[in-house]
Amino acid sequence: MPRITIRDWPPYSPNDQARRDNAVLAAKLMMNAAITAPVGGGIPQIEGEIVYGETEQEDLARKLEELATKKESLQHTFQFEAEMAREADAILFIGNTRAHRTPWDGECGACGGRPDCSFFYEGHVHTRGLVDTATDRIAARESGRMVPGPLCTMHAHDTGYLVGSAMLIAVRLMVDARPFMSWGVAAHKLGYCQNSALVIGIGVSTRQKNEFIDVMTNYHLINMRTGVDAIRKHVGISTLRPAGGFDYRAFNPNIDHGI
Amino acid sequence: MALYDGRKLAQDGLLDVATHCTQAALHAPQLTGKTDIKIEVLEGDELDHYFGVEAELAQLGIVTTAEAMKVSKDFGEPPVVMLIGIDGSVSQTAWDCGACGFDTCRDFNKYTRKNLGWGYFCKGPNCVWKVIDFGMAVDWAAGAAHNYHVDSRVQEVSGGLFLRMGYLEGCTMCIAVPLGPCKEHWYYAPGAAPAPPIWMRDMMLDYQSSQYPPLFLQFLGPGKDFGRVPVKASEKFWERPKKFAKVEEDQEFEGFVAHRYARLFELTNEVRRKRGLEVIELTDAEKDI
Repeated sequence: MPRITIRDWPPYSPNDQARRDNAVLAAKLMMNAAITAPVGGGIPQIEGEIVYGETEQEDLARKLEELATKKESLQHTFQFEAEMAREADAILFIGNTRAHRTPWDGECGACGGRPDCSFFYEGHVHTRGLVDTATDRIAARESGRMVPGPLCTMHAHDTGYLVGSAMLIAVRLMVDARPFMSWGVAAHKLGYCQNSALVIGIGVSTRQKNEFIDVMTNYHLINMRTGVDAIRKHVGISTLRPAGGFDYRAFNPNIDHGI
Repeated sequence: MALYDGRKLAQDGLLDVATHCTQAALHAPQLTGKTDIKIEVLEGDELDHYFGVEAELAQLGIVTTAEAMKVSKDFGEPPVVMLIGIDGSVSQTAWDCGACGFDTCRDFNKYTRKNLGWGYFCKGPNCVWKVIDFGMAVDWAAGAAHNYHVDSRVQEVSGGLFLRMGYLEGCTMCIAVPLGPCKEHWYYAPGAAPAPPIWMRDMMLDYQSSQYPPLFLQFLGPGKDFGRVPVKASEKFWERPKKFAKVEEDQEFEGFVAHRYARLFELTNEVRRKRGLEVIELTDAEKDI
């Protein structure tokens, strides 16, 4: 009879991987909820990717750390969230495929405060309302913007429904989850959700402590990973396993030898 | 021992559901952690302003899902309406992300201070991340209604009307979420609503043929109808005269639309006056000139 043992240590061991597999399953169900979420007009506008694994998450973390150097006010946020990217069990990226190229065209006023969509179209290269996304992409890269706006605010609002519904399922499945703007920006630059300009990353975790909250100052320097690494460093040079100790076969320190 | 009418019990409980939806909206996760979600809940007579405006607009051809709300009011089971809104005109994130179209949040804030204006349903501009937080809050409110097996429908256009009437004053965006009546899929396939009149069938077909021309096109071929696009626009479409598709101005219709919206702005300003609020100053384009 099959036997699935689930433990959360050591990281990436088969027993720990069995635990992570559940988080991946949760991410898949969260994606379902995002796809069926109500959006204005029922307009299809979502794509998603689920990413997990030491290499992929490390790539994301390093991209976040690189982006952290671009802006001082975001530095600690991006650095802390880089560490959370490492600690997550799975990451769900949700992208909105329309906010940058096929606006709602309802003249709602949310993007520019005008009774038409001119604010959006004036900010993009287009031919009769058909946005030239290739040119936009190059312009965004050259401008250095994190997100190639202006975006259709109605579709941005719909993205809230997508992410909100995914988060609702996380709550019902009793997995820890949190949405991050930084992960979405980094993921987009890494090539995830390529059809989207607006991407949000949701971390999914199934440990006894939520990996996405309760972080102290300097979390990028002082966390589980660096803490364990420090223990490993000091095993050899502290009292655990010092060089030049004694021969345990000849001498039992638990007995009083009258020395 | 008490005996309760089940339908009345369900109807009376809608305000309790609205309370839980409000709690859910306020508890929803946020990307920014700084978005202040505002909520108002309306029931009973407080909805009369809305139905008054809707009745007049319906005569001008504006038909929204509010019709379903009116029908349920008429048979004694009106919804409780939750209004959820934000003021997205100030960015407090300092992320300088570019999503709003400005390079920095400072540029955005400077622009909105001078240029905050009305579209048809919302004021803008709005910070994109606050708008996403707003979406999550509305989603969780609707999710809470779903948990209680109460039908709801997120309404942007109706939300805009309430905003113009002075509800959630100070917000730039507002969504209306009616809760109830306690029926199956009331806002998606209202079974108890009156059957649509027969002329709607032809009107819908006209809309569909103009929205999906390839389904209704005839062969135009070189030398035949070449130069115009023939469309099958009636049951016996082969009879003359034929109809052709053409993209052109229609100043009469555009004038009618402008008049319709001017009337809407007038009506909502009347409601603001009745509620003792300052009216919205209309631009020349918004007045029925």
